[in-house]
Amino acid sequence: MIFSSMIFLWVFLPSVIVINYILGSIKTSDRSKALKRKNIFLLCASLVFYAWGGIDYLYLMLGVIIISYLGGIVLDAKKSRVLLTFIVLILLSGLIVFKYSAMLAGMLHAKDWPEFVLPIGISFYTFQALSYVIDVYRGKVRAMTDLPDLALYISFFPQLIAGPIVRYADINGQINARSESAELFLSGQKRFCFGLAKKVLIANTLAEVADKIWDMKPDGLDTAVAWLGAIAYTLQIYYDFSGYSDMAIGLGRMFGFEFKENFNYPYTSSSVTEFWRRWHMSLSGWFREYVYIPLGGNRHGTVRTCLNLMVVFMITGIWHGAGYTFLFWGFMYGVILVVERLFFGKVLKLKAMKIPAYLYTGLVVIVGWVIFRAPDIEAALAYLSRMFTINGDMVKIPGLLSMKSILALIFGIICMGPVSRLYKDRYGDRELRLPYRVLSHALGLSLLIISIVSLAAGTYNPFIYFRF
Amino acid sequence: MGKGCRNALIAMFMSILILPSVIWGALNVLDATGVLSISDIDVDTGEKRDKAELDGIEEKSDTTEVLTEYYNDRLPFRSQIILLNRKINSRIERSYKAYVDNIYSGGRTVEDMVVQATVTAPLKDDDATKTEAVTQVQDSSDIKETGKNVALTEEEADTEETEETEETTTETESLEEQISELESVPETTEEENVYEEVDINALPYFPMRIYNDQVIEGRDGWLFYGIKTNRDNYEGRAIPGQQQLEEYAKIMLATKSACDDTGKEFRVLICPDKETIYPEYYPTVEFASELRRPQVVYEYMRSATDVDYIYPLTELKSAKKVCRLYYAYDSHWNGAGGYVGSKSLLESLGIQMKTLSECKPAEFVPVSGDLVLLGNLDIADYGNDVDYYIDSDPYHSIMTVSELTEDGKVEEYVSSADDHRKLVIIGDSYSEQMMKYLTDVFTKVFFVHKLSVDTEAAREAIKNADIIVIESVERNVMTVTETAGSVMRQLQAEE
Repeated sequence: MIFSSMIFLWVFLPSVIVINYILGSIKTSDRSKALKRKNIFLLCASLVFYAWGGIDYLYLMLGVIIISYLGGIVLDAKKSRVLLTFIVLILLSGLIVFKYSAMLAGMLHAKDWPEFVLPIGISFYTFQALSYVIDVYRGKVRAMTDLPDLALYISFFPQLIAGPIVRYADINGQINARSESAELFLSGQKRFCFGLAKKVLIANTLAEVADKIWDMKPDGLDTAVAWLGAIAYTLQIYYDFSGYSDMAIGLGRMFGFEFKENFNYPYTSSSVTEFWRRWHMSLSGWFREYVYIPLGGNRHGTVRTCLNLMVVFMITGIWHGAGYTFLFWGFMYGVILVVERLFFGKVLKLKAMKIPAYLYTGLVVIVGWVIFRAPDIEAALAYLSRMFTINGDMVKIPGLLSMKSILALIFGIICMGPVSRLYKDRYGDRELRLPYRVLSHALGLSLLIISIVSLAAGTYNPFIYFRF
Repeated sequence: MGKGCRNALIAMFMSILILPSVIWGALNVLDATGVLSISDIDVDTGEKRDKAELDGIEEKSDTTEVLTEYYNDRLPFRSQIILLNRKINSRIERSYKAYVDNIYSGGRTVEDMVVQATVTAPLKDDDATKTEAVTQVQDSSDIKETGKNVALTEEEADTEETEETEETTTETESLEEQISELESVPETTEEENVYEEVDINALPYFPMRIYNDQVIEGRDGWLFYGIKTNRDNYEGRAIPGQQQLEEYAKIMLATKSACDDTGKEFRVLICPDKETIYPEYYPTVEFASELRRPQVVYEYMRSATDVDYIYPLTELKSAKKVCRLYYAYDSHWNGAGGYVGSKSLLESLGIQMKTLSECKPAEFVPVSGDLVLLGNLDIADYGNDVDYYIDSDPYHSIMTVSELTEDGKVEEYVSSADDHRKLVIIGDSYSEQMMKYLTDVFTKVFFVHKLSVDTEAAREAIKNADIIVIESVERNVMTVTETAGSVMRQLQAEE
C-alpha cells in the first residue's frame, strides 16, 4: 500500500485515525495501558499496511523484528563485539540477498542466479533495526523487552516504506510516553496534505516529462531537451522523496509521534557539503553515526578523514541501488566532498563566490541526478555529453511540455526553498499570524482535494474495445 | 489558534477522508430500496470493460491487488471525479495545446503542408498535370476545416490561375450549412491503384503527445492508437525473420487446405491502421527501418503462397482523394474506408464493385471516437469528426441481425441480396463497417469475433460456410495464425 492511493486515503487512514481515537477515548485510570492498546493497534495496522504489498515480504520483516528483539536482549546482557557483528550480518543478509546478490552474481559471472523482487522498504527497516541493536550494544539505550513495542518501532507504517530512518534512541521515549493533542494532529494533517500534493501534483507531473525524455535515445538529444529532462528529474526526485517524508512526518504527528526532519531545502545549498547536510538527513545522519564515526571520523588526520568520507559516500551510493551508476554517483560525491574539505569549501565561502557557489552546487547536483537516473554508465555519459555540447535547438521543448508540467516546474522551483529561506532569514522562526495560519491550513485542505481528484481519476483504466 | 477553529479544520480534514464513502454508501442503500437510481450519478465513463470482481479471489496469488482493483473500480463518485478531471485537464491544457499546435504548424493544416510536400517532390512528366490539378483544386477549396478531406470538382481543377497558398482560416459555420454544402459537392474520381505518396520527411517537426499511455495526438488534433504494437508497426520495428514468416505461411496454408478440402473459399483480409494511410497526421518519429511488419508479411504471403491474402493499402491510399477514410478521433476506418476494404475483399471473390467516388459518399453527423475515451480526454474538445455513408444503389438491402451467443460475439446477418453463398467473417471491430456492404451482396453473413471462434455457434457457422474470411487490423497481423488455427480446429471438429 502507498500513501498516494485511494485505498489508503479513503479506507486505511481514516479507519486507523478513528479507531486510534476511540481507543484513546476509552476511560482508564492507567494511562500506560491506554497507550499500550494504541501501540498494539498501530502495530496491527502497520503489519496490514505492509502485508498489502505482499504477504511474503511481511515474513521477512517479522524475521528482522524477531532477530533485533533477541539480539537486543543478548547484547544488553553481554556487550560482545563478535555477537554484534554476527547479529548485524544476519540483519544485513536479507538486504544483501534481495538487493545486491544479483549484482554480485553478475560481477562473478555466476549464471542462472535468480532475480529477486526487492521487498518494499527493506533498506529502511533494516537500517532501523541495525540502529537499535548498535545503540543497545553501545549502551545508549536499554534493550526493549516488549516485543510489540519494538515491532512498532521497526514497522510503524508512516516511515516504513520510504523513511525517514528513525533511530531508536530518538523514538523509544515516544513509544511508551507520548501525548497526542489536537494541535499536533492539526500540524500533522497540514504536513500530510502538503506532502501529498508535492508527490501527486508536482513529482508525478514532472515524472511524465522526465520519463518521456529519458525514454529517448541519449545520443540524439538536443541540448535544451537534455537539460529539461535533467531539471525535471532533479525536481521530481526531490518532490517525490520530500513529499513522502512530509507525509510520514505528518502521519506520525497525527498519532503523537515527532519524527526528525529529513529535508531542509537542499536545493538552496551553496556547497555540496551543505547539500548533504540538508538532503535525506536521516540517512546521512545514520551513516555518520554508524559508519563514519566508528571508522574514525575526522579524528585521525586529513588522509584518513578523506578516506572515511569516500567509504561513507560509496556505501551511500550503493544503498540507493544495486548498480554501477549508484556506485559511481556515490564515488563522485565522495571526491567532491573531499575536495571541498581540503580547500574548495573555503573558496566557496568567499563573499565574491556567493552566487557562483549556488550555481556550482546546483550543477553538481543536477549532474549527479543524471548519473543516478541513467540505466547504466554509458547512457549517463552519453546524456551528459548532450547536456554540455551544443546540439539542436529549442524546437522540441514546447511539445514536450504541457500546461500542467509548466505549472509544476514553476511551483517546483518556487517551493524548493528560495522563498522559504528568504522568509526565514528575515523573520526567523516567528510563527505566521493567525489569518495566515488558517489560510495555510485551508490551502492544505484544497490541495488534498485536488490530489484526491487526480488520484481517483487515475484509476481510469479503459480498453479500446469492449465487445471486440 | 482557537479550539473552535482548530476542531473545524480537523473536522474538514476528516470529512474529506470519510464523507464521500458515507454519502456513497447511503446512496447505494437508497438505490437498493428504489428511492433513487444510482446510475444517474454513477455514469459510464467509456472504459469499455466490466468492473473488477472478487470471484475466485482465494485462488489468486495476489489477493490484495485484486482487492485494490475491486475497490478502485467502486470508488465513491468515481465516474463524476473522472469526468471532472477530464474537464479540468481540458480547460488547463486547451490554450497551451492551441499555442503549441500553432508553433509547429504555423497556423497551417495538414492539407496545406501536404500540398507543399507533394509539389516539391520530383515528378515524372506524365504526372505533372495531375499533380498541378490537385494543387490548384485544393488551393481553391472553400471549406478547409481541421481533419476534413473535401471532394472537389474537376472544373475547379481547370482554373488557370493558381492561388498562392495562404493560411487557411476556419470560419464558423453551422453544422447544417456544412452538410448541405458538402452533400451537393460533386465527386472527384479516384484512379484505382494510383496515388501520391506523402513525403512525410518534408513535413515540419511535430511533437508526439501521449495520453493515458495509449493515445497519441498528432497534427490537426488527430488521435492515433499508441500502444507498442502500433508504434512498432509504424516505426519499422519487430520485422519478422525468415523462420517466423515460414511458420506463419505454414499455418495459413494449412487453413487454406482445410477449407479447400471442405469446398470452401478462404480469404485473409488485413486492414491497415489509420497511421499507415494517413501518416501526414502522425507526429514526427524516428524510423527504425523502411520496412513495415504488415507489408513484409503481405509480400511474403503473396510471393511464397497461394493464399488469397488481401492488404488494401494501395486501394485505400488511392481513395484518400475522394473523401476521408478513417475517423480523426477513432481508431477505425469510417463508412468510406470500410467500403474500400469491402470492395477489395469482394473483388477477390470475383464480385465487381463501384469505385468510391461512383458511390457518392456524403458526410453525416459528426461523431466522437473511441480514442477520446481511451485517452481520458474531454469529448467537447474532440467532437467535430466526420463519417460518410455510401448511398449508391443497389446497396443497403434490408437485413436482420441475430445474436447467436449470449454475449453477441457471433452474429447472423440476413438480407435480401442475390448471392446465396454463406460468408463467415472472423475478425475484429474493423468488420463492423464492412457488414452493410457484405450483406448487400450475400444473403447470409456471419460475424464471429476472433475471441469467440471456439464456440459452438461459431463452429456451426464455419462448417456451413461457403466462404471463410479471416479479418484483422494490421497491428495484430502476427496473431492471425491463432485465429487460423482455431478455424482449422472447428472445420475438423466432429459434429
